[in-house]
Amino acid sequence: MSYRPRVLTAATAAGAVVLLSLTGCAASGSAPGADSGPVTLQFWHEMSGPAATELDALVSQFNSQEDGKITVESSFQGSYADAQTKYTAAVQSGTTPDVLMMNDISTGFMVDSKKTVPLSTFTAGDPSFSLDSFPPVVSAYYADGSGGLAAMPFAVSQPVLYLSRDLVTRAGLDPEAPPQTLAEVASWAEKIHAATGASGLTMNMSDSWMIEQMTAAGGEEFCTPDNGRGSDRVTGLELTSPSQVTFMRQLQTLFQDGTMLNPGTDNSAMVSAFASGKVGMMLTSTGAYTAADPNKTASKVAAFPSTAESDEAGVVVGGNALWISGEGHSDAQQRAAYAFVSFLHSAEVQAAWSSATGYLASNTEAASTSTGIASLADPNVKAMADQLASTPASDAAAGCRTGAFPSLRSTVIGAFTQVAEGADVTSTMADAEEKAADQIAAYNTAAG
Amino acid sequence: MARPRSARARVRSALLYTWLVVAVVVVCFPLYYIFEGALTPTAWLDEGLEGLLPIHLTLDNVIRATQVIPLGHQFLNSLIVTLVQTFFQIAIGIASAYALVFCGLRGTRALFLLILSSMMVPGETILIANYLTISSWRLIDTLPAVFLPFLASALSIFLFRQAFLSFPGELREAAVLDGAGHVRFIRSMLLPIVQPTLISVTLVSATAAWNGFFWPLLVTNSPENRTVQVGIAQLSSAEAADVGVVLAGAAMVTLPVLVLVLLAQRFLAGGITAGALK
Repeated sequence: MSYRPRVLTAATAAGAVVLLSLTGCAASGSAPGADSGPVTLQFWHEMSGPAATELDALVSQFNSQEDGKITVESSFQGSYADAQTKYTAAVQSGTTPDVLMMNDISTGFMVDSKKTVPLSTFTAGDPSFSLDSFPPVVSAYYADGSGGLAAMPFAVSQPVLYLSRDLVTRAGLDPEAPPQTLAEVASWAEKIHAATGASGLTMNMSDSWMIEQMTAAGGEEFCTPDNGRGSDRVTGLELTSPSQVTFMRQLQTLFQDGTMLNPGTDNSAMVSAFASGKVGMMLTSTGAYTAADPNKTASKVAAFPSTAESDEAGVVVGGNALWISGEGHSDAQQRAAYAFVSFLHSAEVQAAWSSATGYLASNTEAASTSTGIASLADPNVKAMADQLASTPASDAAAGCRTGAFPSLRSTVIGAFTQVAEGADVTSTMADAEEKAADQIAAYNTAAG
Repeated sequence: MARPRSARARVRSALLYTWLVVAVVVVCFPLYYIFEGALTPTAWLDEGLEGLLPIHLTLDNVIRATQVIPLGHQFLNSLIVTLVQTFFQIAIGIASAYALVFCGLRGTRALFLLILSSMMVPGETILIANYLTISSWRLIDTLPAVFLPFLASALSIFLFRQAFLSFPGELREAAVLDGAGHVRFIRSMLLPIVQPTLISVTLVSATAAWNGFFWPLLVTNSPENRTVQVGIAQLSSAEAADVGVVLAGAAMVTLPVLVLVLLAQRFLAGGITAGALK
């Protein structure tokens, strides 16, 4: 298969960044600082299902609390990819929203496009703000160059290991002593499959997310150099390190002997399979908890298995963050936007958000609120929160940052799907490294 | 002699019917699932086979879907968009095709090729340009923004042209001799004869207008200006999907199209191949 289309995709994404940085100059600078008048904010989000209902409730709560001084109008914008297209168009026509929710892997794109004001600009003058209110790996993920944050982290998730108590027990294993390394997970999966006939293990295969996580869980960097966290920007992917080759071979064996269920691109089918007792263990997002185990008693949640011994090892956070628009938005609007995102970060709001959606609280103090205490009474939720709190803020666990990321994911999962079907690990992934390097180079050239 | 032949015929018709039954199941099962699922609680849907039996029917999903989004209002928006967009696509399609075929203008072949070539431009490439135009007219987040770029359709011009070409020239000459003007001729002679094309183009246009998703999402922000397709997108979520509510939304948007297509289906297939026959 030719990789031209993928290079094209990357070039298009990069082109969008260039357009973003070239246009918008016509937009009126700061409107008169109407400090006294009421401010209306446009807020674009991509939450759907129960999360959308909860988010709307939080927005209403903010609006009534501000009593007309600030009114937030929230608006659903489809998938993150849809929203990115719309945002690009909005930048060119000067109709950007005051606050934009954008997903984890678009962080590089948002930083490169320079159309938003770094959160650190506002937090620098806000004595009530504390970087310590975030779990270390969360603030590392959204860090800007200055030591502050580029955007306000909002919905935070991490991958965890879900175990079906029933299937695990039937295989003669103890769910209270869950496996801690991927090798142990593999051997549990074989035992569950042999004893019960059900699939032993499943994981997300719709994009390369799991491969990124297993890389980080061995303390390795997915992108070179330094996951894009140093002074140089990302030029390539690392897919063939010894620990990566080892875990991919382990997974390949499980797929090949029928122990592991490959859900393809359908994540909700994977979660339903686990919920209905057809799979013994599942590696997926904390956000899947309510769907995977509606009664919260059929499963045991454990920390994501490690793939190699390392102090740097930990899993990368997913989810989304809130970006505040600069150009074309008055000082009053920007300040109001900062008030809104600060509200969404407050301990009470994060506790409510987390308990309603299954996302993890991005504010460490959420655990001491009454809602937080009630949620954490569930040992599974506690296990998720503990994993987040103990993840080191290493470059490996902070995860890769490049504006080319969205297009890279399909390259990597395409290669890994071949591996799952029996292709040679080293050569297939080396090919993917080459394709990815082309995509990143195309993005970097266009982004300037 | 007769016996083996009839046995063979019987086997053949049995195979044919088996194949037809399989085809019907493949085509109808998703529709069945949407409507059955819309009326079955999610807890049963997650049970697998049992969830496929219509034995736990309730309107609960439908009610919850309407609580999340202003479905009634969005249905009205979709209806307005579909009516306006279809009306203009038909009117402009008939007028343009008439000019191309009957008016003896020069350069119609080149003009027709130009119109056809516009069908070959992928919609995604002009998306942002269209957005900027709509935005410069200050129409973002209004209902007209949803249908304005689609008032003329090259496909409907093409289909009408192909239908008009088969209209006998003598008949038109006779009509003109009798003093019929353009409008009179179109209304009284042309349209009754190309009625199958008219109906199928209407169906194709209306279905496309009703099913539009990305453009309406792009140019609208407030729930009250959105179409129902955009509205129901907010019901589904990748990780915490409430399948029943999602299916309830899907059933509600599918139903009008389904009824329309069932009413006019015999014209639909005829119209699509009309151009090919010519």
